[in-house]
Amino acid sequence: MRNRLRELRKARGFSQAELADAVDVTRQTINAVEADKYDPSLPLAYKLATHFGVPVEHLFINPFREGAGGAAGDVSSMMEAGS
Amino acid sequence: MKSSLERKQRKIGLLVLAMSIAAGVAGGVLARSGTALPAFVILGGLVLVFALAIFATIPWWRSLDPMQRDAQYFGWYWGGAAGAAAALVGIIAFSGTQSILMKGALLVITGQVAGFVLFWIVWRLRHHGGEA
Repeated sequence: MRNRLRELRKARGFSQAELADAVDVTRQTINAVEADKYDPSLPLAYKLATHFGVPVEHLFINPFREGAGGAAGDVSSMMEAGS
Repeated sequence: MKSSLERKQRKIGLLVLAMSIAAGVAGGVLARSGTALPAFVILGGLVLVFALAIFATIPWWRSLDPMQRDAQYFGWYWGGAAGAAAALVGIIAFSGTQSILMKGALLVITGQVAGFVLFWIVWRLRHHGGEA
């Protein structure tokens, strides 16, 4: 599932290991999610969204919604939403 | 750099490995005791040792994150099935269908199927949502 996890993580200055610690998963899992190689479970998606203080659909692009891909805005708008 | 969870999993993994080896040694000693002990003592001891070995893996399983669990499901389902099929083909090809090896293989597969059915039923019951 396409997502903005890597952008958001870098914007907040976290390493993959630090983010993994924060949401209690392995670094490989964060890497796989960022690379769109693994779809996270719903609890993990919510945990990540809560950690960044953004709605889940800002972090993970809903492929079933029309116009998916750019509707959720850029990282800076997400940072504002989370602050 | 490893996350805290990976460091924790390494410790748990080493502990589980040590317990599994200990269980294997204990099981081997019991199984080789021959007629020195009554059969029910050997059987009961082996069941206890293997039950403890399985219980010892629970902390490791619970420490896995969702992706690691998915990897285990994928590996055991596809890899386990493919490996068992390949072993069966080899046994049939080299020792026939009536050999002691084949009987042993069928016994193991019967146990796996029975375990699968039992756990499948438990899983479905635990995930039943009740009346619509």
